[in-house]
Amino acid sequence: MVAACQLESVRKTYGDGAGVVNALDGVSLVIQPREFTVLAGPSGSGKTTLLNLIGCLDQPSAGSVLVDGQNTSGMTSRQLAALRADRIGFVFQSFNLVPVLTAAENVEMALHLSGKKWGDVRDRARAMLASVGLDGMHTRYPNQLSGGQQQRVAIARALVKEPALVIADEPTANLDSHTGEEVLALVRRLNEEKGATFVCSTHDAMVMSRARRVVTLRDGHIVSDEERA
Amino acid sequence: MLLLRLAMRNVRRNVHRTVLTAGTVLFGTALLTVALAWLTGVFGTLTNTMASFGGHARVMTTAFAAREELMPLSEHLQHADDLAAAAMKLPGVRAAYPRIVTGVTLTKGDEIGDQFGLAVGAPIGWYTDQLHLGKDIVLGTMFTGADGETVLGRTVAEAIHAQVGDTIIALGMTQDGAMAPVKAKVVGIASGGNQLVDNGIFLPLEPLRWMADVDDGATELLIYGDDKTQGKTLAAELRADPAFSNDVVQAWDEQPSTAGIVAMIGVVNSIISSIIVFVCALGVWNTMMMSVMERTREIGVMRAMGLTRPGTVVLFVVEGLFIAAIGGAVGVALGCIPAYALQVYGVNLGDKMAHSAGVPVQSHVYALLTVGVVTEAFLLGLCTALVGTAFPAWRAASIQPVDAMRSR
Repeated sequence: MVAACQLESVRKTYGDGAGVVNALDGVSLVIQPREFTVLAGPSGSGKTTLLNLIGCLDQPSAGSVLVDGQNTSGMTSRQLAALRADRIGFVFQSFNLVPVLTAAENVEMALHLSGKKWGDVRDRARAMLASVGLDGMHTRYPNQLSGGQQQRVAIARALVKEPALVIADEPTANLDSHTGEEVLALVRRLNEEKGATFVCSTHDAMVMSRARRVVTLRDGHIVSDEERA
Repeated sequence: MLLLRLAMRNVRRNVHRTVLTAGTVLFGTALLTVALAWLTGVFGTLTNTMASFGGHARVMTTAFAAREELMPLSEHLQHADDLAAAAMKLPGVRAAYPRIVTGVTLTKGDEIGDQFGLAVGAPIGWYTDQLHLGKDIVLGTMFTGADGETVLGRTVAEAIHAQVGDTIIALGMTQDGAMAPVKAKVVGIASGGNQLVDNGIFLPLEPLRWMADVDDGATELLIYGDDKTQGKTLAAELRADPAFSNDVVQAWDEQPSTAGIVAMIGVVNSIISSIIVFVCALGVWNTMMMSVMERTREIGVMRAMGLTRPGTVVLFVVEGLFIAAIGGAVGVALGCIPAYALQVYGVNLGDKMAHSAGVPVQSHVYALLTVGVVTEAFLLGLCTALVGTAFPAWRAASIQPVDAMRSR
């Protein structure tokens, strides 16, 4: 089986000379399809850098990153954009929905940008919204939705194109604990029902407790990699 | 389609900014409408006058064309009436007139004249149908058809203190260089508000033929079609006709005296339009740049989702064009009001300015509001948006998703 994501001896440095910073230093990691992996660690440990590399938003200084079997090293920005559009979904801490588009249009946007023919994108987007519990809310604009509902739209937007990997950067950080739990339960359900592969970064102990696998980083190194029941 | 919808929704996103952008385009297109209508009116009158006076196309001998500034009578077209008849057989030719233009000194009564001028000898039909001299007569009448008549331009008449009914003597030369006078009675004084008419000494063709001793010749043959836009077509037909194979044929805008002016008109039009477009584009650039900076994170998210650089450019350019279309439509509508007023009432530049211009500018000039003017102003308004949006759109397309994610 092809790994959803595979990193080998990945190093990422910023700056040069005496001011060089090793954000990641020799990280190797394999994430299999259908996994729900959490990247944990204190601020500055390299979680976001690692997430950016897995999400093809950035490229490593050394080592290799394979997403769905494709080596991203040496890819042009256009090729990376195409890979992101087709194979990777994103969920952000601040939801980052387009405020002038309705919930359904925000989801449709991901289908349009994926570059694939999806048939009736409107029906598909509405069905996806229904599956995240937002049935009947497709015409609402983001400012007419609560934070939890907006994050559900963001999750629907990430999953609608059936990506190989969903990257979630602190998905519950801007939500109250109750809403955060609901969103997390949704993520878990989608992970199980749809077989979507999730990689989340978080500080939230509740998120870590729900993960099947927790990878902990510190100073750019993986210090632990735990499988959980 | 969703990108287009998004671009249009973004127009409503920040009403103040959209109004500011649309207002800039509105101001620009209104200004362009007035400026273009004004230039079209002024330059249109100018070129119409030149084409009326010089013919939509003109035929002369090669030797005459080579030394035209000296107006050598010896290099005239022979059998000009036959050539005119041959030209009339060509499709599109509506009229053909032999004409002589030559330098003379004017004398009124017994005084020795020291007033130099250009005497024009042409068939009466040319004066009435092409130069429309009748509408410029301010004293006396047009030619009645009697022998020995002349119409003087107002400036010339004032210079020699000539009045209607006076007899003048135009002293010129024959084609061999001998002095030859023509005596004529002033039947009318014309004021056209431009140099061509006001400085003219107008005579029927035959007296000047007699003075120049050219029998049925003429220094040039003027050809007219339905309007001046046919000049080049008529010139091409004439060049292809064996009757004119040894002669020089020029469309009105190819003539040395007019080609420079026509080129200058194009340059003036371009410069004025460019300045207005550039200044307004700066305003659009400013507001669109603000828009890009406000939406850095959102653009980054969309880029992360796979929005390409060209897609990002399209997003902002369409947004700019949509705003410009609204601002441009209103701007053109508002600009039409002063432009129409200038078309109806015009502006009097005064004779002094008209006569010192160096080209046959009318002293009273009018704007001309046409569909072409309105369309050009509107399209230039869209250009304003394109120019003003280009850099912000490029800036947006250059946003790296990973950088945008870090911004707050």
